[in-house]
Amino acid sequence: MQPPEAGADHFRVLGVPAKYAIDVAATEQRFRDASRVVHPDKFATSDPRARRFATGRAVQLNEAWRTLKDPVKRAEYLLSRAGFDVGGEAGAFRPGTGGGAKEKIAVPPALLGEILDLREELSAARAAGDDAHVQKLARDVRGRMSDVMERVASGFERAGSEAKGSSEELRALEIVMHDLIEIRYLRRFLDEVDAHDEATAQSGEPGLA
Amino acid sequence: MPEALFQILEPGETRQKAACAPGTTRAIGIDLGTTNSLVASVKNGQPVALLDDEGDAIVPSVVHYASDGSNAIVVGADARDRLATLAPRDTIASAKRFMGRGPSDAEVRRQLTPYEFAPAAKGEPVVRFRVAGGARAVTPVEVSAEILRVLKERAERELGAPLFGAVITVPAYFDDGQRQATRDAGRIAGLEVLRLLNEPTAAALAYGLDKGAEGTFAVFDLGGGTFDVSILKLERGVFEVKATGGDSALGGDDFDRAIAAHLLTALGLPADAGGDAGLARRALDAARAAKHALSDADETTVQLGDEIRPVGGQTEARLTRAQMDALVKPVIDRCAGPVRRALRDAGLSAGDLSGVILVGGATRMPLVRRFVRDLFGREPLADIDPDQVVALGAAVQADLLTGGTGHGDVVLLDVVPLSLGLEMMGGVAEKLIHRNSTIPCGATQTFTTYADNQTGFDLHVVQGERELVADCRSLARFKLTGVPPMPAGLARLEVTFTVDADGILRVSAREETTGIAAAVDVKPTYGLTDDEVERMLLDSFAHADADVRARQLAEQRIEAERILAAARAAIAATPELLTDDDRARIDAAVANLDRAKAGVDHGAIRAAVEALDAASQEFAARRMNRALEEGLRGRAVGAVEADVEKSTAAGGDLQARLERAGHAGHSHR
Repeated sequence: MQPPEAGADHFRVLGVPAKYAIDVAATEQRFRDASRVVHPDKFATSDPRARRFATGRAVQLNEAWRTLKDPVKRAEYLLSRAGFDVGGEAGAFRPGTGGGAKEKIAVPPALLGEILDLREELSAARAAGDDAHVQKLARDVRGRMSDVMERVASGFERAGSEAKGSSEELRALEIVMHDLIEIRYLRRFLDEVDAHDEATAQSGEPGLA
Repeated sequence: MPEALFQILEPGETRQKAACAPGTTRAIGIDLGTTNSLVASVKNGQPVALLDDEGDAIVPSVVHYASDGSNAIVVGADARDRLATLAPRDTIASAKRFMGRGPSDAEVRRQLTPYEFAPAAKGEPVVRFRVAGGARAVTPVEVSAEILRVLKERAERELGAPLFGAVITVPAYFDDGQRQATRDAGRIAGLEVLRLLNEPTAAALAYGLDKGAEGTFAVFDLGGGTFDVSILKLERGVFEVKATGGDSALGGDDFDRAIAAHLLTALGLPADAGGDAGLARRALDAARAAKHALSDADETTVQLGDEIRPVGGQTEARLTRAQMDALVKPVIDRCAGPVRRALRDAGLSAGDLSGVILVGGATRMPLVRRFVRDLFGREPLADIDPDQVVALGAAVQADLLTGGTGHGDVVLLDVVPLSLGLEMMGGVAEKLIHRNSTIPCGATQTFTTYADNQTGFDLHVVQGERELVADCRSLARFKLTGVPPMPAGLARLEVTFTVDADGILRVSAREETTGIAAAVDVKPTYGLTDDEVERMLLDSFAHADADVRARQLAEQRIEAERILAAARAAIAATPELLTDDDRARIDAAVANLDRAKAGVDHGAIRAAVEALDAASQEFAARRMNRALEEGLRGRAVGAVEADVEKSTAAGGDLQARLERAGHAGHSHR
């Protein structure tokens, strides 16, 4: 009995079709049901072999659900399955046409400028103690995020209607990739808002509403 | 203990338990608290706290080391009520707050403490209290082990020895070092630690099973020394922690310290007791008494005792509830930040919760209850005794882990409280595992060399949310050596983090390009080494009067009975998975074990248990694989049904699949 391999396909682990538009509630139910079977607690008094096996399965399962439940992570995972390098600090890359080196996807300068302006506005509002303005910016960015995520969903749908491996499919996914880059910047902006909220909450009155 | 391999969940199959009434277990749950500790077990299907001869459930977490050369150790109420005042330096309370901490930690350098710390040798990672009149230096782990030993003896008297094992609770916000220290304390006390369980999760388990609670709950757990908040979703036996937060140095002790400093000042004495251990202990005890009195009364009189002769000649002070509330309010307010963050991490707001559960002695204070009510905008629940609920939940978990079936199909999904990462160039922390990831979990990342001909890697493992390593908690340093000289960037170091179901991290590292298995040297930053734990364990055996050999024999016999019962049940349940060869080998091994069990050589029994395990390995693997596959495939009936609803074109084939899936799912309930 070998410990299950690392890096197993998340969709297969959870037994759901590999697509963006999954039924999240049903997938969660699968995660919970499977957890009842493979959780290490069920093997607490077993021998080390069985424990390792179960732990390996549980690790796969938890990682799969952590990735698929979050729409952004799910989208990034689908792109990496399609050969895109979603990358970290170095940026994003698309698969090379000849199977060779990957080409870098440039971040549109207009987006960068826009984000820069937003962040300047945010720090000005924070410096001025203008919480209402901070919250308005946060609302706008959240609204924009959900618009972009809708584009992501329809982008995946378009890619899915093209032939597997065709250049049309690749182009559709590339557009999704651009949207995800935008999402990454928007998320970072909202992280800053969270930091602001935490700082103001500490000085304010209790109450979560 | 291989029996669970056989034991995979056939309907109606129950584990035989040696020498115990049905629904009763010799597995225990322990709440090792800062102020008080408890032990509980499941009796007749219900978790109950185990009592001492006087009918008390609680053991004060106070340990006294006699200074008369007798090596006597006193644990509990006597240590707290009498010896702490007589010999404050030799009497350790709140050892939990020092678990897994280093000598330079803020907790150790705090003012107004009755303890004397042994001077730290250079590079000495562990805090030691100087006790027994200065003759001994003990670690917080050893102090905790003394408390655990008392609880263990209580359980053995009540349930019979040997115990099957123990679940010990820890604050959810305990970091890796603090968890390791707790597990070490259990080992030194001679307990088989089945699992470390997070305190709020234990409380939720007790509520979920006793009160049938379903929905999303916040557990607000303010104990003597630690604060936790966990957000859990309870649904049909799955207890899923969505997020957790807290402060592992925030609790009732801090209230006491704030009140004590005020009392000392009011009496014209220095607020830090001027280094007088006896005065510090008296002031802290008086503060605690005043705090308890003011839970009901509006005003109280505080006596520091006639031995104290302050400048003004006064030994008595008055304290009103309003005064006390003003003193402790700043401490309570520190709970708000972690609550907000936990809710945000769970993606919820207070209004989404089905309820708020109060846990921990400090939540008895009216001010704390008011604070929680205002914070969450609803009246919190305290139906189960907040002092006992954690131990009761731990007892249930202990029963579940050892095969107890009286609680339905229950599983706990807990999380990592703090992110885990590695130090990168420039002192930046790179996170491999993020906080609130469901455990067990793992992550693998590849790193490379930054200098030519670098033959080794220094890995520094850290825990915390901050960007800079200096602001995170240092967990361990690893050295990976033996990498052949290569130009910078060519060596590829693969580092794997794994967090197990106890929330404890293991790190391994491998250089990829050469494939060489380089040695990894683990040095816990603030922990005890395995050798030290082993030595302490041997010391404790030398002091114990129980006959070690008799105990080992009794343990092995129980083990043998368990595996025999499991093997017979497995053969009866799935004979179709058994080949004739298997059958012959297993029968021979069973007969062999039956013979060994009748003898008195525990080594022979152990060997026969292992032989049966080996003989049944393939059979067990087949059973396990089938159970796992059926579980993963068959339990997701809901998902298939949803598909059926959506697709009106569902044909006969899907219908057939649905039936099979439904059947398989049923057989695992």
